[in-house]
Amino acid sequence: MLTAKTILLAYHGTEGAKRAEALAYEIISREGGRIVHLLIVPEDVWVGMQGDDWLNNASTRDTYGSYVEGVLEKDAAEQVAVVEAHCKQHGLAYTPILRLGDPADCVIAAAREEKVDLVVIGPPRSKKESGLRSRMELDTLGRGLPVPYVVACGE
Amino acid sequence: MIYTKKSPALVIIGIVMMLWGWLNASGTIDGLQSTLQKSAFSDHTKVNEKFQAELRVATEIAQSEGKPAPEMKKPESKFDHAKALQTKFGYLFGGAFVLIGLFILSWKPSAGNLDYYISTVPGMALILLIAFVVRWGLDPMFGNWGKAVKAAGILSWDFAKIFNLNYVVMGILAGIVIVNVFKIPGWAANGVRTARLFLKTGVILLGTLYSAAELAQLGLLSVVMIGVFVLGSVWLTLLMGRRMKCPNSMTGVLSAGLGVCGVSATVAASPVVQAKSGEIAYTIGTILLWGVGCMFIFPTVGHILGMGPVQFGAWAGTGILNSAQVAGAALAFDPHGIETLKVAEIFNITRVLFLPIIVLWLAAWFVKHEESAVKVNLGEVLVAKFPLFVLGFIAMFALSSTGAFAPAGHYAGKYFSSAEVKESNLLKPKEIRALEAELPKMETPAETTALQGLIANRKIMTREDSQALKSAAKIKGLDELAKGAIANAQKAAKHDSKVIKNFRDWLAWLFSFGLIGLGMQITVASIKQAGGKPLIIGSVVGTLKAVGSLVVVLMFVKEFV
Amino acid sequence: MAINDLNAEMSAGGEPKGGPKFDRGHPLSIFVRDRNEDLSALLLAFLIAMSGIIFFG
Repeated sequence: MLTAKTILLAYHGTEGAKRAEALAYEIISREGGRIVHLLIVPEDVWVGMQGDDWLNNASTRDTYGSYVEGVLEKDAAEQVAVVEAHCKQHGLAYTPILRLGDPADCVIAAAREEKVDLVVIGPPRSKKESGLRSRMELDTLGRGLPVPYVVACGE
Repeated sequence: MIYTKKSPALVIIGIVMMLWGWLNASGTIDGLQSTLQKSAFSDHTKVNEKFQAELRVATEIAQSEGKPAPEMKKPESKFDHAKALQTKFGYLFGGAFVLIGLFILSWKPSAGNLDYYISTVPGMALILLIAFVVRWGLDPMFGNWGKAVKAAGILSWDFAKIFNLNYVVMGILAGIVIVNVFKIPGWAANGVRTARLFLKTGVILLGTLYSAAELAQLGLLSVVMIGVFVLGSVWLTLLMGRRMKCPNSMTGVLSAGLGVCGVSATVAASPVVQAKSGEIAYTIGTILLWGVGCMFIFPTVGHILGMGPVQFGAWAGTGILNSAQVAGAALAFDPHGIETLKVAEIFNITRVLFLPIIVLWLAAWFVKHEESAVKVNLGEVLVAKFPLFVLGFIAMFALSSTGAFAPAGHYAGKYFSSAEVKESNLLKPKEIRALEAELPKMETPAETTALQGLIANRKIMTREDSQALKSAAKIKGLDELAKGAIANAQKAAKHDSKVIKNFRDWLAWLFSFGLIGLGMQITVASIKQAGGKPLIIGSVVGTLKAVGSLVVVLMFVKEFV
Repeated sequence: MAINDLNAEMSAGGEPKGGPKFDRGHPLSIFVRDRNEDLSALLLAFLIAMSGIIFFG
């Protein structure tokens, strides 16, 4: 069976991501394994949230900006807490990374920087599931990654 | 952080602008310009022919008297004027951009104010270049195509007119296309944000164009309509949100966005109702989807129903969810006059004045339904959310009505002045005789005095006389020549303030600049976030608001300006 | 570790590992700071109005 010492896990709490997490724990080597937890804020979503609120004065806009940053930080912190706790249970080292950008590009860059052996991601979300519309371009991922990647498909 | 990005882009934009100016000045592109500006060119031909004929006659007379041929100055036609303007703009802005561009390439920026201001120039240049292309190129081109297609019998209607393919709509479309297809280049990002600044400047300057009576009437109408529809849609959204079991934060942010002024309200209300990032994205997506859709549908419907500026301005100002698209729709409906924009912006201003009220309402509502909510301070909200530029608008209106820009009592730059009537515009003896014959027909003493004054002075002397003669001209059985004479005298005494006329031109540039910049913030990715329950609620509320305000406008709002 | 480090990374802003930062523009800029955008619009509008009077009045 496939095994890896350092795994990059793209995880943001969705059903697919939870499957990816479970799969990562199955694959990872028991001795000195490390999970690199990547959280991505898709750039187009982030830009879209800074819409054309031209009627407001800049102080309203600043308040909003700090608020949105705070919300995203809180979101990230919650996800980090979950995965970090699981890693502890499994006796694994843990590194969180938060990035802004195109999802596939972020995965590629993080995989190179952290020198991971394997990347594990969840499957595309089913249409019924709600959430932000932003997709991981598997084509880009396939061409750019220096290491194999695994998609945690399944029911 | 250093904001200025080294890029030759600004120099290139500057050179392109200067080149355009030179091509116009040298006459190299007269052929192209004459097809683009058909009516100005036919005026040009007429002016030319008349001038040549006059010159010939004058030369012949001089020759017969043995004098040298006289020197005559060729009058400037509309075509010459348009070309001169494009030349001036091309040289002025192009030259400035080339200089600043060269400075950017040679300069080693250090963090500070200069760096920040310089970094905004390339983006402004990009927007201005787009504005030039759209205004001087695409707008007349589509106008010609629309007419040609109709003339050729391919369509029985002018598609450019019906779909409002004018410089405003195409400018916004250009912005949308650039951001979605090419992405905004890094060197332009900072300049694009100045779109907000210029839009606000435009609104403040718009204050010069209202009369007190007009502002009072429009203000009252907008408070009534915005009041009913804003409060109505906020209430409906809150109701639907709870029925459909949306989270409170989602319902709260959605109701602000759908109710008041779109994205601006979303941004103002999100922190108050503690909206989650996804909820904000959904709301903005829904609003942009509706806003952009309405911006294209409203003007077309307005033209089909034959609405006037007040009706359309009121409808767009109430029915369109996002305030940026309100200005867009008003200018799309009526791109060459400012009348519709004037009405619509009053509605926009009323909306932004309602914003703090709605934010307070939502805060109270959220506190009631959510334990984790933090109470907000009434005074703080009012002070923090108060739009300062509205004060500027009011100040500009006050300045204008006291006669800072045009004689006091002017209306949108037109004013009455007897002293400024030109000698050549005084009534002719034939007209005076016709008026004398009509004296007995006057119905009131005021009319009689006014007419006597007109006969004695050959021009209208006071504003009161002008008013009296207006009603006198409507008396039945008046001689046509006398009627014409009164109309001529009225026209001769009406003057157009040069200052205000220039303000109108600049306003059009400010708004087109601002709207192109706002177009650059409409991304498909953000619209794609629209979906699920928010989209359902948005569609219901958006449709009700658009249709409801249309019905109200058609039933109760009459043209009064 | 995590959260504190993560926050530190995020507040560094613009660093490779940082999260999204709301772009407020240059802190000194009169364009986008606090009320200054409205103030600059006011200033600009009055400059335009004055130049209108000077050149065309």
